[in-house]
Order: sequence, then C-alpha cells, then structure tokens
Amino acid sequence: MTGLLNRNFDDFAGFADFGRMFADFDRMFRELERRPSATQPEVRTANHDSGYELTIDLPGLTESDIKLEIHRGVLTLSGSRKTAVPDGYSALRRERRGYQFSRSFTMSEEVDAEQVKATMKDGVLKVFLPKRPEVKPRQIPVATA
Amino acid sequence: MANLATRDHQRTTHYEPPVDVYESEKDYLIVLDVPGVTGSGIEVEIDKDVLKVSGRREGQAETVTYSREFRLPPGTEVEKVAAKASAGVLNITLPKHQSAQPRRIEVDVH
Repeated sequence: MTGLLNRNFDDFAGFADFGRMFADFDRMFRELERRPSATQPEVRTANHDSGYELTIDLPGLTESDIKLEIHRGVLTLSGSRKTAVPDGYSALRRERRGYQFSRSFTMSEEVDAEQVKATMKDGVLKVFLPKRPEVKPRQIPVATA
Repeated sequence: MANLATRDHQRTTHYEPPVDVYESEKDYLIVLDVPGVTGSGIEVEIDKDVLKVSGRREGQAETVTYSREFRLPPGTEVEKVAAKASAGVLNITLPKHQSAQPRRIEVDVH
C-alpha cells in the first residue's frame, strides 16, 4: 500500500533531518525491488516464421517521439521522454523515470529491409521485420553439346 | 515435431507500475506508467480511503497485470475522482474538499 502523502521526494535544500533521509532511502530501495526497472526500456524479440517482431514499452511516447532508421543493414531505434512536474504542482513522490534510449540491430540477410513496419499503441512500439520467402535453388538442365 | 519442453500456455506476470504523486492547492494528481493498457483495460476503484488501480495487458506470449493501491488522505472528494489514459500513461485527479483547500482570511484593520 502506498501512502499518498508519504513523500519519497523532498527538496533537498537542507539535510536537517538525516535520520529521516536514510529511512526514506531505505524504504525507496525496498520498494524498487518490487518494481520493474524504468530506466532503460527493454526490447523483447519474437521469432516467427514470417518475420521478427520487436516490442518495446515506451510509456508516454507517441509515433512522433520515435525515430526509426535503416542504414546499410542496421536498424536503429531511438527516442526519449522527460518527466516534469506539472505547472502548479509540487512533487510528493517520483518513481517514473525519464529515459533516453537508442538501440541498434544488425538485420540478417533473410530480413526484407524494404518491408520493415512499425506501429505504436498505448505507449508500446512494435517493429515487424519480415523474412524473405525462401529462395529455392534453381535447377539448370545440361544440354548435349 | 513439437518440442516437449516448449510451453504452450500463457504466462501471467504481475507488476506494480511506477507512480508519480503531485499535489496542488486544489487536488492531487497520480500518474502511473501502464504501457500496453488501453483505457478500457483499466479499473479505478475506491473503497473507503483506499484507491485501487488495476490494468491488464494481453500479449501474444504473456499476460501482464498491473495494480497499485493508495491510502488516500482525509479531505479528498472521492466522488469527483477523474481518470484519463493516454499513450500508456494513466492520470488520476483527486480533488480536495473545499474545506481542505487553503483559505485566505481577510484581516480587518482598525
């Protein structure tokens, strides 16, 4: 249970009360253990017959905040978000982190780089990298000279 | 040929979403990161002085449930709670009672 008024964020203008500061850090670390890391967004990959799918949780971001680039067989994803105290408010608790992320992936030959697609919904980015259809060996008839 | 060790069932994971709590003169603002959850997948319940937020996210291989509970301070207008979800972020505003807001009192000077 989180007490709404239990601060984990104070203006550290004066460390008048050291005892309370350490108690707060202690509680903060214990609480952090229960939560997923919000620092570096993790990339989940799935390998399907039709292609690879990357899924990244980027809460607070929309399509215009993401940059997706393909250059020389390398796919690069990047984006950032800041968290700011809204106007007129003071912060009692801040656990959500701003982040900057940039990940690069080398695409293997089987990926059709021209057909890479990306969608963004509810703060989740999905990138689909289709695989080329299997290229079959071509039989060459040998004619009698 | 099926791999004997391959799981076939959905895995369910539970997370407590990270939260920011802000306060202004007239209300509290709670902001939670719940990526992948659409507005309709979120439930906000208030039972006495406890606010419970829960959400569900169905993926192909995994179902994720989010939930977090908060003890509300006295002076919140529970009936006027509002919640809004956008881009995987949930914003909940809890107005304070009129009486809990700071009031300026005119001082008569003779």
